[in-house]
Amino acid sequence: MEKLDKSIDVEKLCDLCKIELSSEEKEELFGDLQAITAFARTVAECPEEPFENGQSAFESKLREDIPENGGKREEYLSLAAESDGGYFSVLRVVE
Amino acid sequence: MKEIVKRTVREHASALRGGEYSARELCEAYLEKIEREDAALSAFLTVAREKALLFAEKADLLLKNGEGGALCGIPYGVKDNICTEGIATTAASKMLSDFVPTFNATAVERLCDVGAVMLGKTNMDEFAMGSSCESSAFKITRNPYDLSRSPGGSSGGSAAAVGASLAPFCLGSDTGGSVRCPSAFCSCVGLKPTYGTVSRNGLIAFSPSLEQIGPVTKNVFDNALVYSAIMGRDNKDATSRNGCPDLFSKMEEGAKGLRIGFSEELFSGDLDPEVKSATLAALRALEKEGAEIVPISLPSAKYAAAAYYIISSAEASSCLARYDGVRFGHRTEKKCESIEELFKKSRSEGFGKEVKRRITLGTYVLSEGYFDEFYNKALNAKRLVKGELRKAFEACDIILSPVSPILPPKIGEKRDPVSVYLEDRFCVLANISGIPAISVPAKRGEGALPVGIQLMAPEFCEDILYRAARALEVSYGAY
Repeated sequence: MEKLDKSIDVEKLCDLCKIELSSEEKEELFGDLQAITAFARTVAECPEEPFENGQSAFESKLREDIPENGGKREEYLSLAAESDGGYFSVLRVVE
Repeated sequence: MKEIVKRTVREHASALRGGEYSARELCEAYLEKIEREDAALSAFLTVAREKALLFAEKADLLLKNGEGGALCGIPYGVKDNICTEGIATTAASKMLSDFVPTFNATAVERLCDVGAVMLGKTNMDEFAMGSSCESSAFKITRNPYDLSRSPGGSSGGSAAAVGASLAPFCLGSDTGGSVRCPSAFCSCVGLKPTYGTVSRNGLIAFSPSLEQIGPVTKNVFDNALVYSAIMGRDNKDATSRNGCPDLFSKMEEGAKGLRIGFSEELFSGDLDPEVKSATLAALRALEKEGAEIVPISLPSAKYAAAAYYIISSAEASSCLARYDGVRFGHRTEKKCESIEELFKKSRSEGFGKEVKRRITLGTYVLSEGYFDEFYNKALNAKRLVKGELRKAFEACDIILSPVSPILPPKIGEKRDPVSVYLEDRFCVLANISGIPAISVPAKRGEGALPVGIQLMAPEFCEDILYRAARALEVSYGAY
């Protein structure tokens, strides 16, 4: 077994990802992340490649900045769990 | 004569135009087959029976007037992470179990425009994260060649449907082999197009810099027909481009004169002996048809899987942040004291295990202190692999490798995540470098499990890719 990577703080990661896990799930995830990051760390062995050689021929091509009539508010709101008076409805965030 | 539902897209197109059957009759034939056989296979999540019949009636009108494209009246299935107007699009996740899009993805819209007939939505790994179709929140799809085995993933439902003739073609999406792996396991032809040539508008995002929508078909010609119908620049996707303008004129030119690159690095590690022998047989078959086999070197290919998992998980952690139970998606019914709690409970209930694993991994590699060690190094590896591939393509036209190092695994087999991730090592090369790649069924004996041969070509060279794929198909007398 490789040395445990203490930098993996599952509690903090779950908090950042906004997910909750049971203690068994956290333990399993910790084990998985240990193995996956050990595997992922192999990219560090890769020699440095200057930017030019790997550049893609792709460039994002943005469309002209011309306003279009969206008019889809009702459509989008119809997908929300809750909406109220044309707004997405959430719990109170400001005391 | 072949049972009607076993026919290819091309055969249907000619029968429809010749008046042998109508689009409605054809649609009904597939709907009946799905009803009869999909209980054992679970390829479909939603069968849109009523809508399909409406599409078919519209196609019959177009056919009657001599309009519509080559795909007019041809039924098809769509992977459930591709938005379909008025038809549930769940990405096989509880998070989106109630999501009914109000618009069609561009690829679907283009198929509608030419009169193709959508039958329904196919099963997949949740949010396209997986390679066995077992991480779907709703059902486990089975391999039509052996029901105890996986059809591969993540577009497992699409490949199982085509493999079992429940649809003559399907759309899938390929982020790290998700069209090619299930195509290999279900004996289909699956294309991961050049990045940007198929609009991602309406594809539920997992890793936008890597993923592309691609067709799963019974043969190479059909694949080109579908790809030509869905590709091309779309204003709704800033990364979209026009693809190769002529896919067909070189298709029957054969293998003579083609330079096929073969790299030891893409033939390494644990490789099932049957995969090994099928791959070597494909190489020999092309050589016999007049292709030249060119040894090439891709020393950085060994970093590709790690780079892929870092980049794709990083993008997933960002893309899936939008699922918070507010704008759309699952919202917890538990009482919450704060918005933070609402987010956490909704996300924890909505996402499955593999999705949570990828989101946390992605968050880790993007977090302060680890960004350089992981994410930047992965981008460096990506550049290196791209550079090596570009150089390799100076010496060859096509690179040949296995699609997957394994045969279709048994459903429920316990496997550790790193081994599973490493099984994508041949496929991810095309995703991290943007080049097109195709899975073509290898010649197999009666009753043997399917094996896929991967062919890769330079960006925008789908014409050469299809030519090589067709030559391989012809070399063993398929279609």
